[in-house]
Amino acid sequence: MSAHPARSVIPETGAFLPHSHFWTEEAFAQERERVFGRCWLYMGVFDDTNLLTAEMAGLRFELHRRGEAMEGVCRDGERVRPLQIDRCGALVFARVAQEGGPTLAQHLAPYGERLAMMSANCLNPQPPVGIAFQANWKAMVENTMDDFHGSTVHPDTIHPAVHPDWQNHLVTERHGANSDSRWLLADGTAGWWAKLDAKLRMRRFALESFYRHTFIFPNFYLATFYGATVIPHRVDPVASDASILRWQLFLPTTRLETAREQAFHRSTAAYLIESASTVIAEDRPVCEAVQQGRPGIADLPHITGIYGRRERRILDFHQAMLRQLGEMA
Amino acid sequence: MQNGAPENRWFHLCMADDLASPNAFATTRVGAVPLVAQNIKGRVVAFRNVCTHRFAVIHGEPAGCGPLRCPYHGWSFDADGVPVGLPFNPTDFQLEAGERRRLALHPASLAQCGRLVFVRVAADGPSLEEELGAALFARLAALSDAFPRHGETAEPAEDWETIEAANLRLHLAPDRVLVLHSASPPGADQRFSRTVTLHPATADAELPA
Ligand code: FES
Ligand SMILES: [Fe+2]
Repeated sequence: MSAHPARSVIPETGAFLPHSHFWTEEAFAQERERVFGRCWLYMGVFDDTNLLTAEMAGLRFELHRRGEAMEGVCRDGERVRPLQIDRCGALVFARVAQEGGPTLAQHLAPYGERLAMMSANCLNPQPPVGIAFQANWKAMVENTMDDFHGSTVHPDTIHPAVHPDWQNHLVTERHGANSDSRWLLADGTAGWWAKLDAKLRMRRFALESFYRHTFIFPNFYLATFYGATVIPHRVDPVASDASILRWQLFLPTTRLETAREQAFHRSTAAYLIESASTVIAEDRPVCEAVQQGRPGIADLPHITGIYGRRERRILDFHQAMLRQLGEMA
Repeated sequence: MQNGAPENRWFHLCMADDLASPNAFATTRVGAVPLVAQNIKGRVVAFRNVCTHRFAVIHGEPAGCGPLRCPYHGWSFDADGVPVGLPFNPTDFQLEAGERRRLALHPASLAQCGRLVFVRVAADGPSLEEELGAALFARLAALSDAFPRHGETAEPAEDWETIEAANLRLHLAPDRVLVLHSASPPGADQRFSRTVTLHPATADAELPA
């Protein structure tokens, strides 16, 4: 593979996941064991119920909190295994208890501190949303780390919301399995947030006009806007060709006393949830188109795909998956 | 007669007039392989309907009219399947002509019998005429020429003649109407099945002398 930053990469066999990993039962079972049965996984942000549950690749995670103590189990049919639970700020992660392996801080590196800082904005939670995709979870991870489909897939939503010169402003950091991209918001979009801020006095973790996207292997990403709103996302595998994208909007305000303020916050949150849902509804058909297309070229070894300058995070993910599955030579 | 793998068999896709205008296309799926036949600047060509960039199905609809352009990142392909329009090529890919040719769509086989268009996944294998047999091939060709007009849907009656060929079932009321049912190939969704009702060349033929 060439490493020149401005050139595209045509990966060699062994440098990307075999196509069949995107639809076979064998691969799904292997991931269930080696990825979802082992890695640190994002579970959510605790609320008054002190309960968190998640279902990934047929594994059911159940967590509860008593005071500062957190405990939980992973149920796999009859089999019940204890969980190790840890937090990064307000973000709760868990993994099936095991000897060795990275600590949560190591797993999140180098984004632990930043995530903790951003998670202070996990206030005023809105109801979680789940959107079903007829696609393998990895096709959705590829989609979310693809930094250049805005103009074709989101021409009326994201594309106009980011700065017209987004190409020169886009900053991507890659650290192996984890990575981060940030876009400068368009002036109009930043102005919209500024007006919102004037009314809501949002809590801001940074005075920035960015849309940030921080990905944590294997299936978590945190989107933030204007240094204020945070939206944790998790891609839950349901079957080899079905997944659910789960996300939750936090619109952190410091002004929620009067009925009028509450009503404004509510309607703004509803608007933001609707906007985010519209964007996800635009991504769904392309993820599903890839799910349909990939098996159609799997018999042709020369068709390996090609990864441009702003798609490197995807290959990083493939390589992290290969390492996690123990398939790297 | 047709006991090979679906990839090695011919499947009826559409009528030639469905692909007569520039950018008209028809798609299907054979086993796991999505296929597209498309008119590109007057030339009708067939490929795997899968983008070579990152594998999205290019045309999702069973038929329509629109350039052979991938919905994901907008790559568009010429009549040789070569990507010619690559948004952000100078900044993101820097692919020159030779490299683009290596990223051409994978061709599929295309054949015509009269006005009936057939596709096959495999590049090599018997011709459509060989697979159908010369007599059936000639009959289908003649029938498709004798019934060129798309018309009102007709329900085949019991006493009509039935002819079967590949995934096709034809119902013929001689000199009056030909109903052509094209079943979706193995692995393809029902939405890829097609039924057309065809009428003879001139309406006058139906009028008593
Ligand atoms: S997958 Fe077709 S253009 Fe990217
Ligand atoms: Fe998207």
